[in-house]
Amino acid sequence: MRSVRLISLFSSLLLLTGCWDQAQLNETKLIRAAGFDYLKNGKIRNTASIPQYLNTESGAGPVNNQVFHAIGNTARQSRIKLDRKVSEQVEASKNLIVVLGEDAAKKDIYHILDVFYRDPKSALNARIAVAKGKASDVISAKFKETETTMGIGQYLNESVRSAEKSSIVPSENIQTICPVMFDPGQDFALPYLVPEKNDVSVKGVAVFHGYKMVGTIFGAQGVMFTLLTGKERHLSMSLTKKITNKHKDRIMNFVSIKVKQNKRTFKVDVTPDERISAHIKLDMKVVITEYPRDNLTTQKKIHSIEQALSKTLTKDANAILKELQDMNSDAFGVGRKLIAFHNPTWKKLDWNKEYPNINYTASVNVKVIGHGIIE
Amino acid sequence: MTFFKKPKKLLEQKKTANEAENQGSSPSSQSNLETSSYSEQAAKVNQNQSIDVLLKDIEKSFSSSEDLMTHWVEMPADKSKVALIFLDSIIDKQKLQDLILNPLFELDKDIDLHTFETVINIDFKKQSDFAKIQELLLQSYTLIFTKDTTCYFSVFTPVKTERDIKEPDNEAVIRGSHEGFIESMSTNIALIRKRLKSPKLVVKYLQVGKETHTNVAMLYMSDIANPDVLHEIERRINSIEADSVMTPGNIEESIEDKTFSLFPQTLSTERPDRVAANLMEGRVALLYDSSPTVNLAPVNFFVFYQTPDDYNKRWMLGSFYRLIRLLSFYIAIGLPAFYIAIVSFHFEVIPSALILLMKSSLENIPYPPLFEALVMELTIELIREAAIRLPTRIGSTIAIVGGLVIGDAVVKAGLISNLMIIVVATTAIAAYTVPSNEMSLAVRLLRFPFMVAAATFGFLGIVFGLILMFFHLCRLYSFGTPYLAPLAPFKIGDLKDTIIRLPFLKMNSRPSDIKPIKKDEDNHTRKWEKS
Amino acid sequence: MNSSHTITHRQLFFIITQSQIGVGVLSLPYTLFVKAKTDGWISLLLAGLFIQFSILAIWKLCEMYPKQTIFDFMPKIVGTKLGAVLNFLFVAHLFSVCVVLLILYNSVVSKWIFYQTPRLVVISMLALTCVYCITCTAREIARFLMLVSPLLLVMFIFVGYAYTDVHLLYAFPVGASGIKTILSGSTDALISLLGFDTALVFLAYTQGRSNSKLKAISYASLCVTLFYCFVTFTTYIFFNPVEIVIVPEPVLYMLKAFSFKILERTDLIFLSIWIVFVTTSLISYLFFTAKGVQSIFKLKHHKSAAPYVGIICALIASIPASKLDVQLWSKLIGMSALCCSGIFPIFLLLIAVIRKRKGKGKGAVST
Repeated sequence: MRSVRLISLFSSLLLLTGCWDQAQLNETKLIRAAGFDYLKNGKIRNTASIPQYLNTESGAGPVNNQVFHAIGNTARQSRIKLDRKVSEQVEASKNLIVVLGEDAAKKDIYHILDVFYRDPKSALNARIAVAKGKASDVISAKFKETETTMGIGQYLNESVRSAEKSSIVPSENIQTICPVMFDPGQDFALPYLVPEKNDVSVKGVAVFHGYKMVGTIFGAQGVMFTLLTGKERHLSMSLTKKITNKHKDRIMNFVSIKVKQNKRTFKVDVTPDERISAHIKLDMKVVITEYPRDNLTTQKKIHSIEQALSKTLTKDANAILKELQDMNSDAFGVGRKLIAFHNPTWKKLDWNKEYPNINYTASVNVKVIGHGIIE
Repeated sequence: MTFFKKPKKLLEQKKTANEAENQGSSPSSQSNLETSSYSEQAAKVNQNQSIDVLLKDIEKSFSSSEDLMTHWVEMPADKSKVALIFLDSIIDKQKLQDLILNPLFELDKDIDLHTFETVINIDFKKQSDFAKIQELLLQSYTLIFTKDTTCYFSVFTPVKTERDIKEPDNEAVIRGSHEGFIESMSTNIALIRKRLKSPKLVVKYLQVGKETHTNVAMLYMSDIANPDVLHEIERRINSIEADSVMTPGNIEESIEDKTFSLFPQTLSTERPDRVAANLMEGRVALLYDSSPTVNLAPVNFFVFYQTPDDYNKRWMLGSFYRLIRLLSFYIAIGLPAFYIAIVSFHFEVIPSALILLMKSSLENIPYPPLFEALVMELTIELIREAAIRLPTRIGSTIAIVGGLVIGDAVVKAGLISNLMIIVVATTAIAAYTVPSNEMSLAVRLLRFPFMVAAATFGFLGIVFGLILMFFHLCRLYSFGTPYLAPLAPFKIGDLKDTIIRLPFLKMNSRPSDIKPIKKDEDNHTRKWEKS
Repeated sequence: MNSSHTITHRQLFFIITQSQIGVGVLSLPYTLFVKAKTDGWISLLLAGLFIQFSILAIWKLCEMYPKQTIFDFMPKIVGTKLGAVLNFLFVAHLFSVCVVLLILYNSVVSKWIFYQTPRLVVISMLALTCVYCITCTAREIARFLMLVSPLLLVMFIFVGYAYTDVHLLYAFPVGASGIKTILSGSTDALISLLGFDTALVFLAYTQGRSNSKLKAISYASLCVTLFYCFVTFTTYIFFNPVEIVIVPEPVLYMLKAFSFKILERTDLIFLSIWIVFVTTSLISYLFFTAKGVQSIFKLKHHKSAAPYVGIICALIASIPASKLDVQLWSKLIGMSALCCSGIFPIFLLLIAVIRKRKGKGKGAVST
């Protein structure tokens, strides 16, 4: 009997309680892409894209893309103002991508992102990217692909993801950059979006130092950058390199490769007189995907291509390292290695001053393991 | 009413007890005083009472019910008069003619009634206990009184009111026996005996209900079933004190461990093969008068999810479908709750690719999801209930009208989202995959509290609901054996025929939760391999 | 003691495991980090070693007084009057543990999912569920705790998924914070490992050889320590040392970022599973408390004490309002719990041993 009484007590409690924390899906507006810009007066402009399927008789029809703007002193305030402009409760929990305007990225981005880290409902797995110019331009632009099938959020997200797949940009989201952002011994890089007339293209990576963006690396160099991070072992990414000048026919001078395997060895040494040197060695196994001269028959020939490729790639890698040192961005984490393995040295250093001056080199070793179905 | 042959053993055993019970057997509103005086009288004066007085007394004890017939026959041999008395409504007249009247007239002079019993008819019995007259008449015996009033004769002449043995509609299988129990206890026992041709199969008769005299037969394997469990079941059945015990449900409810539980604690089935298999595992079967339902006890949760079909499939398929059935348990109780929790609390867990589609289907629904779900679930229950009551031909029409037309119209009208229709339909289907009707009903009812909990507390509500449910299952017993065995308490050896079904060659021990006396099962089906 | 109430030593293992893993798992990495920096996981291992002493003491006590709970043998060790007082104090301590469990549960839930739901509702939801669960025998509790144990594997897999994005270098240099800080961190770790003290009541129901009982408790505590260690270490290499100080529930925070094709926001799923573990620890502590109340008021069955214990705990637990209150309460009760559950059994054992020796000496003289 006691249990019956208990159960009835419990169930009556259920009836008494309201539904305090309900958030009905059909009574919310979902932000799928959010953009942040600093205005000239120091205020923050928040741009949000809220797509919605237009219901037709036979189910969901085309997407209607609504874009809202709001300006506030902080990121949160601008969100609250945004909420007032939209008919229903605005939720950012299904956000796909956060776009930072270049100006905003060059200031402290943590100030903007704090709202994402603090909110228990926010989408930490949203991607994050830097846009050339204003973020609001990217989000409110009418791109070809966004008009009918998907919202701008999904479009940008897919673009960045396909760029990640071909290793043009490192794969990051709001949460994964966070530990690195806090780390004194490492920096990160984000995809760099350039809006064009009908579409947006992921042109390269925006390199950060601490909380601030310090520069960009473009195009093919972006691929090299990702290879140097060594994060992924199995990449499916392509490079086209000029290996000789001998041929009159311009196309004959090039070779395209696909990297099948990329192994990174990263060494940081401290000499007894506290001079720091770092060396990144990449061992790549590649497949040749385009080589119009078609004479890959002998071991010697392949070997010469390997050597030519290794040489050019080493040059590229060193160029990137130099560039990073100039921008004072420790994207590959030399400092982290120092903290972990040379902690006494690290404690004596001012890393921000020391980093541009260290001896930082790279070498690439290419090995051809395949050449498609013809030789 | 139906009739069955009552073995002599029971009658003798019950002799003393029946005297008291017989007092109530008269259907009239006669006072107790009168009846009791009758039986006392009968016992006392039978020696020198004339037939006429005796017959009158009998008539009186039946309140002059008009279907009580007395028939006088003159014996051709010695011209003595013999009285046949029977309840007209429950005897077979043809049998009466064949078994009594015809032989009577063929009697030679030197054979009298007393030798007749031994020589010609096996159903012909000499009786001397006059207290049993009522009971015998009610069990469709015809009684013969001669001028020798110290004894009388009884002939079993039941009218056949049984239907044919058919496959039970609610427990059909694809492969395997298509026999099902019918409303006759003796036929049902015969169906079981046909499968277990073993001298160790014991039948024990019990009687409950002061007025209804419902007979219960307890079947078990004497070398397997645990005596403690047997005693417990017998004790509980014997302790039932009620005027009427009409349905197996009455007995079931009187003997189960916890009445305040949704979960059935005995397995009812109409399949002889299922009963036979469970008897061999050491369970006890309870058969009832005029009921095709047989109850099996003690049971655990997983017994409800086994079907004879599993054993006729290849073992991997059997295991797969059993897993599907167990999964359906979770779907049936949890899917609507999970859906409600997601759309009204935690839509963050919906994957990005799906969220806009889901949102668009929900966009213009005016009601909260709980209400939506309740309406649809209740509609389904309505359709189900209506379909049971209606004849089969109209039933399928109702299913189509209810299922398709209402479902489609309700979405088109924008009252219910199409996702909710999918959820409710899946849930309904999942609830029907349970092979046992009782469990299926329990599961269907369970999802309502889960839905309410999910609508008030989201995932947390579901989790607390599940905790309470599983704890309840952990504390539930069926005749002293834990209900959730072999999961709680955990017995890895017993999992082989509960969650999955291993090949027969692995099944060489019986489930230990029912504590069989003989744990090992002789099961060497593939001995040829070793030679 | 009824024979149908006994449990096996295997069930004891699961009871202890389930009591130990509880509220702490979410915030443990954070509390450890505040003290011992990235070497928090070493503190944890040390704490696991320390509680082994308490476990030994508890086991020895229960071996000396078989089939008796602490409330039965306390008066026998220290005398009837003092025993009654100590029993009362111990029950008060158990009450406070239940209360702090509820408080911490509420603080996490109200931070992560129920922002507006009143405290009392969230708390009484758990408390009433547990009240229903403790109105039965120890054996049924053991069965339930064993039934939900596979969920530990699910938790393990969830946390293990973090290894797709970890920075192993964050754990280095090992031992940089020094022995002293590591040691001081281990007191905090001890609090989250509490739960082994429920053995004081459950041992009375356990059947089997006394060696296997000790093994069951020790293995349980070892498993929990290793699991906690795994969780702590994982969060330390997932988060940057600078970041972790601002994340009080690192485990949830870590899972928040993971998403799969069929399911996103794994933290919500993890939180739901975590609730089960909170419930199990509260069940065993409430059972312990109810048993204590039963022996104090000389009730026939602990069932009749259960609803009062549950409701009182729920009411007290809904008092602290702000985050600072919660911290203060949990810290005070944590320290007192450490004394009562960790150190007190050792003292009790010492007294019992000395008494027994004296008794023996006297006995030798008198004969």
